[in-house]
Amino acid sequence: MFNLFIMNDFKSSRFRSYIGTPAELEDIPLGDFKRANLLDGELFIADAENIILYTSLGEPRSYRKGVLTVTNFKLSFIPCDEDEEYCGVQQSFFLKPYEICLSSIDTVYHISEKTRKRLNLGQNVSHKIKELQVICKNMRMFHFSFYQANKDKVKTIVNAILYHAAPKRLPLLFAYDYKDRFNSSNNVLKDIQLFEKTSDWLKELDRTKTNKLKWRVCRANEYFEISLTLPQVFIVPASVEDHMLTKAVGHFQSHYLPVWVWGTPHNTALIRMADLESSIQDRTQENVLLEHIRKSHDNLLQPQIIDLTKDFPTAKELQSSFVKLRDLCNPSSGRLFKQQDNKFYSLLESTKWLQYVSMCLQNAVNGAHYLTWENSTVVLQEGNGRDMNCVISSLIQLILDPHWRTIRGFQSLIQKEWIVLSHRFTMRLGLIDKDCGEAAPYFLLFLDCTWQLLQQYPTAFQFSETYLTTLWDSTYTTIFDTFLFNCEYGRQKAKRV
Amino acid sequence: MEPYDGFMQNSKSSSLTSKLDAGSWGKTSPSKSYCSSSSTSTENVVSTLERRKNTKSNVESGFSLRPDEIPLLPGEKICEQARDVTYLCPYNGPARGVLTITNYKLYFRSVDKDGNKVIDVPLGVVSRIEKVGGASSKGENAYGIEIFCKDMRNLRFAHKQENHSRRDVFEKLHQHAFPLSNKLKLFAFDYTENFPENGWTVYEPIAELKRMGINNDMWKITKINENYDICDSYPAVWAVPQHVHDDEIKAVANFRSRGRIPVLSWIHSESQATITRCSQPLVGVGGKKCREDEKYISLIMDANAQSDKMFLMDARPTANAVANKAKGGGYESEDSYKNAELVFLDIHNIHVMRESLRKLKELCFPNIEESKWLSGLESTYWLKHIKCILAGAVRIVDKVENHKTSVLVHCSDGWDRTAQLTALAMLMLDPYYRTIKGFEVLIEKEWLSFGHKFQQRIGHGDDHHSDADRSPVFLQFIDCVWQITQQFPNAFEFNEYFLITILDHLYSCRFGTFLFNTERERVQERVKELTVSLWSYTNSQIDLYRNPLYWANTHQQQVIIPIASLRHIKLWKTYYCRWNPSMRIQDPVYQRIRELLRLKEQLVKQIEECRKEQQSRLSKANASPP
Repeated sequence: MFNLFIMNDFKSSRFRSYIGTPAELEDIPLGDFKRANLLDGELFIADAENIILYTSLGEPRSYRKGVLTVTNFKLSFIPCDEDEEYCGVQQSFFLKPYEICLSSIDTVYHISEKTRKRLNLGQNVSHKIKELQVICKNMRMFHFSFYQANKDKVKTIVNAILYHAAPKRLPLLFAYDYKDRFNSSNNVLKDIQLFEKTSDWLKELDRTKTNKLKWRVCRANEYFEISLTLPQVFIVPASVEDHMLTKAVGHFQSHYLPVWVWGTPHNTALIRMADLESSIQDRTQENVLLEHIRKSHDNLLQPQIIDLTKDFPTAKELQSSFVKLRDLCNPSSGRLFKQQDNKFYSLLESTKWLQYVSMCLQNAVNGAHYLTWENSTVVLQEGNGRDMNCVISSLIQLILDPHWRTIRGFQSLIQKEWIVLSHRFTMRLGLIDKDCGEAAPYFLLFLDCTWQLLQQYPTAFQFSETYLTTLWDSTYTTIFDTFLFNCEYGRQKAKRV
Repeated sequence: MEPYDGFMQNSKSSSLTSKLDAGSWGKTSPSKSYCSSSSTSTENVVSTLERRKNTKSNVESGFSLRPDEIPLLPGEKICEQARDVTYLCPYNGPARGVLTITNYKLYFRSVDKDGNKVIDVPLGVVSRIEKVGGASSKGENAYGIEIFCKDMRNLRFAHKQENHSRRDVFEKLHQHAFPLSNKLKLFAFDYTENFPENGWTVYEPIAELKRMGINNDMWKITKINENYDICDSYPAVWAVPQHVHDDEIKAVANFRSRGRIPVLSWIHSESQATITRCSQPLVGVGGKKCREDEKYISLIMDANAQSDKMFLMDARPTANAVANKAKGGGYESEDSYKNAELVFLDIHNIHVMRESLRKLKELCFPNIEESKWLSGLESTYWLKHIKCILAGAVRIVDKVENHKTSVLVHCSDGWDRTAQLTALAMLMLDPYYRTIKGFEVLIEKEWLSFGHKFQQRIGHGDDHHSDADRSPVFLQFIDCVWQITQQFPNAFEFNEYFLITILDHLYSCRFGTFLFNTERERVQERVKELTVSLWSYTNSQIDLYRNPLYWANTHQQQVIIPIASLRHIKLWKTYYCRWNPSMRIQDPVYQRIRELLRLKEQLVKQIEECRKEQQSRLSKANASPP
């Protein structure tokens, strides 16, 4: 009942502070502590008993007692009365309700009576820790109290969290240790186009009824000799010869040349490309390639170029919007919840998140409009071609092509637009210690846009919102190698090691 | 562009759909349509489906309507027709066509080649009509009529000055949109359609009280108000505490505003905790007391053996309750009422709510300013008011269900906020009210019989559009119900089109259900004999309103408690924004739901047949010797 009072904003404030009184906490029967289960290849690092977890608003109980464990994969809290099922949230196959993968830890705060101090990931603490707040990239928040636990064990476990949540190199992630790795030749994968091989791209040309006299498969990058960011196989206008690509590639940021990603039987095509390097004034190489793209159109129409840099949020702005949204969705106290509640809609608006979602959808609709009603080829152009390009290109195809709205199709779309066309997941998900660039939730932005489409067209998709949630959850679960890398080159290199 | 089944094209209906059409639509007569507008301008999916079935039967009989021919209901007559009128659509631009006024509706059909646009509006929804432009007005479409509606839209028609059609249209519109101001009858009294179901028998007060187990040791049914002379805004039959005397009832009636004494709304079948309702006590500045009233309240408290406490929930903000003392009203003092705890629920009055809806309409119609949509929505306070009402009802439910304590609810007169609160609390407590017929009973009981002043709050057939008595109290209730259905999608037998249909006919004046202020007036005007009930219409096509997710078995939660937080409360776009094509759901999901329901029905039937077959085989096997 306690929580009902808070949620329903009752006047007579029955709200008690999160910090329960010691007397109350001692009443919890301890029973036999249960330990976390380990996966194949998962290693135990540290644990501590007698930890209190203050559960979030809306759960049937306000705190639970149990064991906190850190492994090389997860942070695990197992309540001593675990049998009591808590089904409030969608559960993962690999993680119990109060477990999270270490990669999803975003920030850690030390909470004492009056202060809340941020602890730096990767650094040690030596002072006594009373309470810890762990904020996750997937919007979850955990609040632990240690006052009943063994002090040394607490210090060890806090340092273990701080150290292992921010690995310095990719190979330190659990995916490299996981023994039960899914084999990619597995049957499960046989219906998904991974777009790693020539055959997948040829199939895609056939499926879209694209004329293979106008567009061809290019293998010039088979050993990543011209670009580390492009896949080994990609599609270019048939009139473009390999040597032209070799000549032009250096002019483009990240060596990201214009590539074909989708088309129509009228040979209108959807093209993705990066901007020219800022040091390059002479646009000749870009114009040459655009001219070839124009010639591959049935009516030789000038392509529509959509600039996804101008007017769009920068990575920093997108991340800051997300953090605001996360704070709004996860008030840290009942008091804050109440304060926010009456202003919820204007607070939501001020995060700008929905504005960005709407902007993406609007641009995708425009792109779809050019491709169909105006029968014109669309070129998406963006700085290095690997962030907003992924969002808008996927959305345009979801809007126009029902194939991508099936489960297998959606997976293939992600494989094509995000994985092989190299969205920088390592960097944007912040999987390893910050120095390697800014984290920003572009993939979440795309999933949100897809969810919006699902709301407007409830019968058009084979999958449900649960599927989208699962996808987002799995981006931070470093069991899978799908969302680990910045590019195909990185993945290939990792495989060889 | 054919090859891609993109969102930009309309998808065709499946074969299952066409089978459906033939089965369920074919039989009905064309006249049955209520709102047969084209799908480009329409909102109420149910009426769109009805229109489709009409067009279909028209096509089948080799007959199609000319622009000046219009579908009429039984009892409906054409009063005025004007050619060469232009409808100024805020979304698709002007359309030229024929405008017809009947004694029930305004009907416009375009004669343009591209698309057959139809605007079909019952005149009951009209709140104000204004002439735009004069004889000297220049410019295209500057001269005409603007119609302001109660259902979140306005309509503009342009006339040609030289045709002189505007005067006659305006006059007839005024006459039939505001029949009471023109000494005419409301359309419901001319309407003569017969339905297989009779909605007037849906609610029988005594049967409903018996359903809840009254009479019992503690409560009795009384007919003391049979002639409506104790309280003219209460029904003829109520339930009161068993041990109260008739003269005490009269004394209490004198102490409660407009004689609205505490009567039973609902009783918990196990704990016997009750929800009772009344109006404010006439305490006044002097702090008057009434011993009979105190005793009466303690009888209500004693009727529940589980608790020695009781809650008096005053729906108003504290300041308003205090201010009412100056007008002779006020609230109970906890000193006089032993063991009673007084709680103010902070819900604002009808004027605040009317203003809030006015702002909401400004925000939603005709066009939406996207960049400030959410903060604009917040500044209307509409959702905050909805939240307050829901939170109040949740508190009542919490006391009754979790603390087994009886709750008495009142506001000032006990016919607006009180009706919202008791009806919502009952809906959360009792799954019966979440069925289609149970919901109809709930409206008949808590709203109609206990005297929510529909005539005053809606202003049926009356041209005083700025009347301060008008207020969207019932609309708020339906909105709250919708909010609960969003949080508990499996708990309701009805879908949102049922709620929209109720709201559409709240204004339409086609049915007698929402006419007049009190049961007494309805009896006097012989509403049951002379008009058709809305429930006759809905219950005769009940399949249209079923929720495919309804889970009507033992797994269902008895009590549902929604979260009254703005994080969960949403704008009901399907209702408030339905005239704007860009705000609608883009898929024909309603059609799909109907298909799924039909499929489920077929499968259930198949299972039944298989079972029977298996059983007969078994019995044969048993009967014949081995």
